[in-house]
Amino acid sequence: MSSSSKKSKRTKAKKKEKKGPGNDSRYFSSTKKGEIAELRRELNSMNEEAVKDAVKKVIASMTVGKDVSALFADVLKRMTTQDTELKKLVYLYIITYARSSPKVVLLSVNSFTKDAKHRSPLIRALVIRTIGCIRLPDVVDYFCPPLAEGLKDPDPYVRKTAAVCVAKLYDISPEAVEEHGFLKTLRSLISDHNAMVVANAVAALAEIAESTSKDVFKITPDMLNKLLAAMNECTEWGQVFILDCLAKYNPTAKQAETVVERVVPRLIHANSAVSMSAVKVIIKYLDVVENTSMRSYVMREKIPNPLITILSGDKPELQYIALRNINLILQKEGKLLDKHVRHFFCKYNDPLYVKLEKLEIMARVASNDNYDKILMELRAYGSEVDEAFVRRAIATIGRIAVKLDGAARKC
Amino acid sequence: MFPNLFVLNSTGEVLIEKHWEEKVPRKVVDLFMEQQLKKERKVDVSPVIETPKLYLIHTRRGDVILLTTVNKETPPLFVIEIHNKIMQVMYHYFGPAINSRTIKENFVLIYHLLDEMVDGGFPFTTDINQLQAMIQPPTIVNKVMATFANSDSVKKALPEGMLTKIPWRRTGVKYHSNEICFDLIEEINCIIERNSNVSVCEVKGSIVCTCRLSGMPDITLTVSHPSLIQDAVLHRCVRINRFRRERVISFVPPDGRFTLLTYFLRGPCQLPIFVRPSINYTNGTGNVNISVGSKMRDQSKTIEDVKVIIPFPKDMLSSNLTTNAGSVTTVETASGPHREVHWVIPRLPKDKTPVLEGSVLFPTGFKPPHRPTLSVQFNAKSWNTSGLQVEGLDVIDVKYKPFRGVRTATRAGNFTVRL
Repeated sequence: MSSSSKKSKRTKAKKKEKKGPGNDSRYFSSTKKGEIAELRRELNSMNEEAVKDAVKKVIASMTVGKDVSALFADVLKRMTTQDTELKKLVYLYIITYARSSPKVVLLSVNSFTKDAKHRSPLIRALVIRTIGCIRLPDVVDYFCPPLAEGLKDPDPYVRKTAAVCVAKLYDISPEAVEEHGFLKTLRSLISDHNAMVVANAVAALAEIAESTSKDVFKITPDMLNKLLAAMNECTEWGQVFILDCLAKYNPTAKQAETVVERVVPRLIHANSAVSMSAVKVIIKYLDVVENTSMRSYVMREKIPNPLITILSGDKPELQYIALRNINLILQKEGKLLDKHVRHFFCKYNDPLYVKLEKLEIMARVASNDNYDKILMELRAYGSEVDEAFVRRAIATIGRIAVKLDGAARKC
Repeated sequence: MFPNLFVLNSTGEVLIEKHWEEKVPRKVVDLFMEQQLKKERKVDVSPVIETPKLYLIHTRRGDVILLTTVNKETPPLFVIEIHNKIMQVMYHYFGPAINSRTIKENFVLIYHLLDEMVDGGFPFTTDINQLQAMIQPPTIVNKVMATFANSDSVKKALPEGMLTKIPWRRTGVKYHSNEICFDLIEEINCIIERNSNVSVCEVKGSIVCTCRLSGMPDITLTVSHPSLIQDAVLHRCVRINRFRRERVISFVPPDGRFTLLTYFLRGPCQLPIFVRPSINYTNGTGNVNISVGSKMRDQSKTIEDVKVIIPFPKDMLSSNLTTNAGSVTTVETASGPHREVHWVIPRLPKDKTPVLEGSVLFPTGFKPPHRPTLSVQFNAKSWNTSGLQVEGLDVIDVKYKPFRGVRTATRAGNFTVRL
């Protein structure tokens, strides 16, 4: 920290200052008394570059944890700039400090409404995004008209941002949302022809439904088809929302079959969140499916592969979560991973938490066919470095002895 | 869904803080650091930590920690994949060596990126191509332009192709020399027991494509053994239905380098290299004799960058090891109870078998508590275990004739040998 503050003293001469990205650490210099006044002067200067620098300094102080709420009015004045970068920074500041100075936010309503009609969709979406982040119940009413326009905007980027904003607004003031009929508009957005808008509308409705007990989001069979169609086209994150939403729905037998067929291709998605959510949906729906041959085929052939794939990845956090989920799945379908015991063997440089979970699963998967392989492996762990791991390995041997009589002698 | 993100360095200093929902106080960072202090090794902190009111989910890369707190039911893989994506984007923009200094130097750009990637708690644009079109990376050319031409690093308009059916490739790409290269890389993860039996062996293969083609090319790729990639994980650009029906990989590639597909082979596989270790401890000295060699049938192919890592207990006093090929160094590991000996052979010689022999000294009466486990690294070019090869490659929809190249290589993933 001290070296960067020395650097900032040296680079005070504005003409020789290096600008642009990659040199922002100088903004992290320490605050002295009167610096707030100096920042205020810079914010009010005529030179746009100086103003940008000042706002960046303000945000850096925010990040370090200092209180710069006194500069709220001055930063707000800069909102009318035509410079996109400066606008974004000003909005970032507003989002963080709106709670502390609510009356001053009222002054900005005019600029918001003007910007909401800006010809660039990027700016319009930026306005709506910022509206959603100002969590003040008093000003919500002022922001509803621009939001209503955003939901009907011709540009899909703005529409999808508006969908998200409705969910946020509902958090703060559910009555305003219902008064302006936003829920109905959100539901109609599910039939939008752009898949991203659909995904975001679904996510927003799902979030609203979670926070209230009222039945705001009922999936009809018609909607089911639209959701499945949108799933094919939207981004991977949109697929996670839709899959999660499907997981909460209780289907009929016929619906369950169609859904399982359409969701199975998602099992091999590169994003492990998508494949895990797909596994969740399929396991729930397979319970309802009447066709037993389909049920056993999907369960035996399709489900183990993605689970093992996530385990073979190189990121330990993903492995840990996959192992926890496998633990749960095995509680329901014990025989699922019998043939894949070898994948649960611990590698030397796995972190401790992964190794402990693997031991859990080895104990669960142990059966009369594979216990000798498992026992040999556990014996090899006896000579490992980590004490906690070795202790748990020995306990696992004991568990297998209790579980399987034939193994007890070998143990 | 994804309510907030704290980017910390390893001492708990907050570098970047972004909230998309109700603001969470910084005390959670202290909670997290407390958990970290309780563990012996920093990497052993569980990724998901339960506290009375919140769940702390974190990802660690080097000395940068990404931390998110959730108080509602959220799939944790979702949060971790978003962290991974954010790190990937940062690697792309700032280079692979990201540390807390890089983040401090570019925090404004990172705030812009986070704003674009996660919209109000819902992740949206995480595609590198699109982000690059909207927010320019800090390359030298862009920095110069920013200083002289006073242009913004943030574009005013949305990139075209943002919300269309092919969002991973922007239109109007132009290259002077058009080329497309495929790398077939296989990584072997295996555990070899004392008696030279292979107890676990799995191969993770991937086809990585570097695409520098102009326009909107449409590529069709066929491979020699389609049954190997039956259950492969495909990039989103590959047409799934055609793949399932005809086993043909048909796609419009994104610009630049990307992983086309990843497949796994489970079951016995050929190992290109053998390792015969023998380490005996008697009376405070350890006698070491390790030999490695190539098991490849085709003698013209060489194995390069071979590295054997032997962890000895920290109490080791000194070592006296010599080898007839390559070099030996002793490395102190900062954390953990080991001192490691690294044996590096740039190229496996064909005429002799490399042997590492000698002795290591321990304090008298010291009995090593455990047997070491060796890890081995290597790189075998122009060869892969599965025998998968590219058979046909067609580029249509373009007016030029591009240069096409294919390379094969096999590397060691997690290759351990037990004593």
